[in-house]
Amino acid sequence: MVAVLGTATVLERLYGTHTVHHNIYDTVPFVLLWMGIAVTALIYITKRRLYKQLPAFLIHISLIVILMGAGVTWLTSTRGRIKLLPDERMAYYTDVEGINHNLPFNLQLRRFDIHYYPHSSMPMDFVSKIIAIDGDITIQATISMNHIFSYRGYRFYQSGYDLNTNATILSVSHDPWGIAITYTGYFLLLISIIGYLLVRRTHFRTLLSSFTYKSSLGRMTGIAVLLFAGSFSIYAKQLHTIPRDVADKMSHLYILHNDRICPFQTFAREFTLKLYGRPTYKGFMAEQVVAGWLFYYDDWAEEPIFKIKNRELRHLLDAKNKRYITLKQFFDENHQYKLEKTISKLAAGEEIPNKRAIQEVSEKLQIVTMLTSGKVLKILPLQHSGNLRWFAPGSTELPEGLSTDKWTFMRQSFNYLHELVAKEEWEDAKVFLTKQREYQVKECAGEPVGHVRFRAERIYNYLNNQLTTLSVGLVCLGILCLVFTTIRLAKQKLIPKWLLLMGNIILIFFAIYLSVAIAARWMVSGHIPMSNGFETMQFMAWSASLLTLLFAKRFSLFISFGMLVTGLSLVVSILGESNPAITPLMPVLHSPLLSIHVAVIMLAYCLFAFMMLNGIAALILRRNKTQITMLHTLSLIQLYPAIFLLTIGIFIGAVWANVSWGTYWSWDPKEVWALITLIIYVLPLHNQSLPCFNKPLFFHIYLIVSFLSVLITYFGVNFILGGMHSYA
Amino acid sequence: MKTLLNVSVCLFSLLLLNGCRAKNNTEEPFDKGEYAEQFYSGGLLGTTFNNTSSCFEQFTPAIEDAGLIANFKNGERRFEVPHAAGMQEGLTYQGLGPFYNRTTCIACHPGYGHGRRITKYNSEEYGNGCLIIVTDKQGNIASSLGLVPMTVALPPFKPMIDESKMTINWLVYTDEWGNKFADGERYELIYPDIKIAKDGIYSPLEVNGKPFNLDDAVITLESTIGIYGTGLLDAIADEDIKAQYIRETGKTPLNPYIWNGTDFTNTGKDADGHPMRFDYACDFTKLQANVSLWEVTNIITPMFRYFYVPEAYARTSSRDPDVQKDFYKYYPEWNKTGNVEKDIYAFITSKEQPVEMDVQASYDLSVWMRGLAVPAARNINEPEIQRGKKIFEEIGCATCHRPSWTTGDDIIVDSYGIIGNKPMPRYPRQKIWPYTDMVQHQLKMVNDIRTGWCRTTPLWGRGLSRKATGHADRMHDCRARNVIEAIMWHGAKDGDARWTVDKFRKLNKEERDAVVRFIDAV
Repeated sequence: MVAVLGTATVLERLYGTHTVHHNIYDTVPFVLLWMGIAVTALIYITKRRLYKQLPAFLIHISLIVILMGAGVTWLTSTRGRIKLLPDERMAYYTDVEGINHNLPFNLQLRRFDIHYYPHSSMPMDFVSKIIAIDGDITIQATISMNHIFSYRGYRFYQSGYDLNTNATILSVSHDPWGIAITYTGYFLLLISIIGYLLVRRTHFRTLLSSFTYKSSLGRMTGIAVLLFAGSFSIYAKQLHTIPRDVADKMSHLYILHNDRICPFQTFAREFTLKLYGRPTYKGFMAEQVVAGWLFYYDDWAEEPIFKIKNRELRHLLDAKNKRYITLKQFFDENHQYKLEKTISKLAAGEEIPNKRAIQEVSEKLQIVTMLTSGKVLKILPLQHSGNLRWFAPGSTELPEGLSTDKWTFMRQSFNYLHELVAKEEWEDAKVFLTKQREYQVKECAGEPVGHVRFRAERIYNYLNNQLTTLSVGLVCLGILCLVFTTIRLAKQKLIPKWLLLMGNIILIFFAIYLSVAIAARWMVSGHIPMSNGFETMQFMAWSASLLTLLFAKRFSLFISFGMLVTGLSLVVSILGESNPAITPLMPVLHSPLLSIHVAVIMLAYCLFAFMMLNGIAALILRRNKTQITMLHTLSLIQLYPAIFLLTIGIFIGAVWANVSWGTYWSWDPKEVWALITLIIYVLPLHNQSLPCFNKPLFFHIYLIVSFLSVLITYFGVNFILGGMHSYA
Repeated sequence: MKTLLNVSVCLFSLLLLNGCRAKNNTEEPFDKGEYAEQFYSGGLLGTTFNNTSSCFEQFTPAIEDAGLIANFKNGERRFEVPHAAGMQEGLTYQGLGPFYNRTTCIACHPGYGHGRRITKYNSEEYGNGCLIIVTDKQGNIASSLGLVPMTVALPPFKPMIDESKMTINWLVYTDEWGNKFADGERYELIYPDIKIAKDGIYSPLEVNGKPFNLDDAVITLESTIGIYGTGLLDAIADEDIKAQYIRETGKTPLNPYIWNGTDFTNTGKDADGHPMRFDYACDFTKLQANVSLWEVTNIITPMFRYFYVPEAYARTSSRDPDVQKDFYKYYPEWNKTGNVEKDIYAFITSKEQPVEMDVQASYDLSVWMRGLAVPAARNINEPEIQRGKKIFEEIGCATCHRPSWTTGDDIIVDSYGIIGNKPMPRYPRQKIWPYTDMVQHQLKMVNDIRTGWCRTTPLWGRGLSRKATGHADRMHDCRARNVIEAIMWHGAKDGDARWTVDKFRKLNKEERDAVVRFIDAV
């Protein structure tokens, strides 16, 4: 099976997704192979009387349920397309083979619209307003890129359009039973994993109890790997922007951003994060970056500040595989936008690779355009005929009937700042900005947001700016701590008090830091900060730090694990935040599920890495039987949670995919390789059936080699095999 | 600046400190060493420091000084808001048609800048700043179409040119150097080739009554250029322009239609002796003589109470059975003789059309147009930019793209009696940096501009074009998509700028880049 799957992913790269699906994944022999595996497994576990160990038995049963679900999906689900002309009723859709399937209700298109980014011809979203007519019931619904319509087991996705006829093209998927069965399987699996960890007489618990401080072990060499090397760049060219103190004055202004009034600092921070992935650029604070674009556009147009994550996209932009490109590199020598063709394909509803990555990059470009056109910089409040509205300096959308004086002020006041900046009269610029803020307060008849909230947000921004350094530091410390602790344990020595104390202090620091940050965010947003990936992950880090503090005394390895989990959650939260949604752009779909999916799997990979390191250590010490046996046990202890995490991670991913891609499993190379990894790693757990894994040396070598599958899943798929995950 | 501050201080008493006000009132360029004055492209009275996408739309300090902001604002709206046809109640601006070319001024002047390259002619398209110029082989405008062929006509009338019957093909041009520099860097040159199908032209082509064949017609496009700063060019004294002609006499060919070697010809000046200075064609003298709003939209003002359409069109329409059939339905009040052909002809050529826009509105529009500021130069004090400037001057670009002028006394010429005693923004004795000599030259390009003579286009503010208008197209028909292409279009064998392009070609990559950066910075 592993061989089949691995080959399939390579073939996919060579012959295309469609061919592989047609010739492998969608074929009867492939399904029979799975059925064979399921049936054999069922017979085998019954024979071995696994049902006596209920949790382990349940785990296997739930896997079989999931396979059954998949089988049912394969047998009963249909997918197809439906083309709706305006006001035309349709009651069927057409699948890939051109066969029409009836819908149990009628669909009618009311209208189809393309929403564009403001002042641009770049499409932002495709929106079909439809009516479903089911007997006497009429349901009005809107389908757009990130918003599906689901009715009576049929799910409709926006997939294209035809401008000539104003028709919209929807994908339809109908899978009434498969999803339900599969989800039942996932749920059962989750329950049984939790049960397995809780119930006493399992292999895992036995291992844990055997692994005490008393185990005899000799010398051991630790292998520390420093994962993160700080990168410092040297910049020869002078980049213009306003000085720090002027930028600081600017950061105190209010701005209407994301439909709320916040400090200018927040806007600047998100702007810089959006472009660069970090809240500062070459030592310039975010406000200086924004000011740079405003006042020294030509300079900044040549700065490699746009982070391009996707390799193929870099290729499309002729970026010679550089991670960061300049504004100028988006355009060819004729000032044509290099992605225009790709984007118009996207707009025409063609399925193109890297769709999400392209959208993300377009947004980066758009946000700069919107800044330099002054469209997003809503910093001027205006009372007019009883309404308070916020405008950008120089706005051409001022209300009619505005007095000439006010009109002049709204249109011209920032030109004066431009002039002061050009003259480098910084003191006057600071005075101007102070007065500008006073104007804001005056026009709003009081502070637009409470003083405390404003302060809270500034503190929050400050804390968050330190997040990258802190979290990466914590991960490094966690790794060092883990290596050190393992060595001590292996040496049969107690973990020194100072280490525990230090670990505790670090975790207390993080607990307080995160408490303040979360409280500040709560205060600023006015809702419990659990609404998006970033917030969820920060919450997870906070919980992890607290839990570790509670349990650290019982199990000393916990300190290092706690540090790792906290650190990794924070790192993932930063990854999630590196693309903040700045309205009115379409937010890249970031659900908490996606973050958890990533975090859980990352944690699993991390544990696999430890096992690999254990294995190498064991190879080095292969003469010493006791040592490698000890390491064997240690690896097994890590193997259980790692596999559970990977399994859960994959299934969370499947649930997410079902929501956003419309199918819970699409045989994407990354998915396939994650599955391969899972299959490879579960084998050592079946040591009773596969006695060779009881030999420590074989076990270690196996784990070292197995790590290759993790590497292929993580790097190989991104860089070589491609697919829908290639942006990850 | 003074008035802005007064206004601001009065209204928002908190806003600005007296300290910075005092400092700002001194009318001295700020200290950037020897390059200080070069920042003020439009002089102290005509420069804006705004460099956002609305940088071409700002008013000058002179507008504030003259207390004309409200008028500027009215004029701006007139320029930006689409006009409606007819005189229905409740619409902001009306009076469009029945023959017109665009519904709003800004459609041709995207972001107040240069028009955008088009691949299809569409009168409704924002950014299409092109007029369709149809001439005979000798370069005489087809008088049956006029300078502004009306591509839209309201029923029962028909457009002079049917846009859908017109094709624009962009052809690749390979110059004698194979479109590359000595160091191998390549550039691409394209130019438009325009065809109109026989049935796309409404009235048979003629020049002053003499018909000619469509096959013998030369069809070109002429795009708008930026409109900011025209008030400053208007402020240049007539004598100074004459002095420039004298300086260039003998050194380079000059258009005999404008200049006879010692003085302006009769066609080179107006009745009052003002020399022609505006448009590619040098066909009008002072800013107040500009009548584009009327020419493009046919909105009737007290000054021009007739339609801007050629007589030939009136003739064709009046004999067109389709027009005759419905004419009385649309214009019952013009049923004056019962002879529909005569009535149609009388309607189109009538000199007594009802007024649709009053003198005050024309005045506001004049204030606005004369009050548009030029964006300040960017980073002009930087060594690389100054190096570019030096090369620009050394290789001869500055011969025609004359860097600076000092304006004259700037006495307003009220060509059509719109202004009277009312104030206007004025720019006397300003050192301005337009980079034009205000004289026509010949580039001898393939599918060249009508007559081949083209007034040197100002370069100021053009580096902001992409930001303000979304494109960076240059040249009269937008054939150049970047600065290098624009420069290389100057290189035709017998063109006036050939010697300069030869020198430009000898520069290394770094030097060429410096020139481009400089052009983008002014």
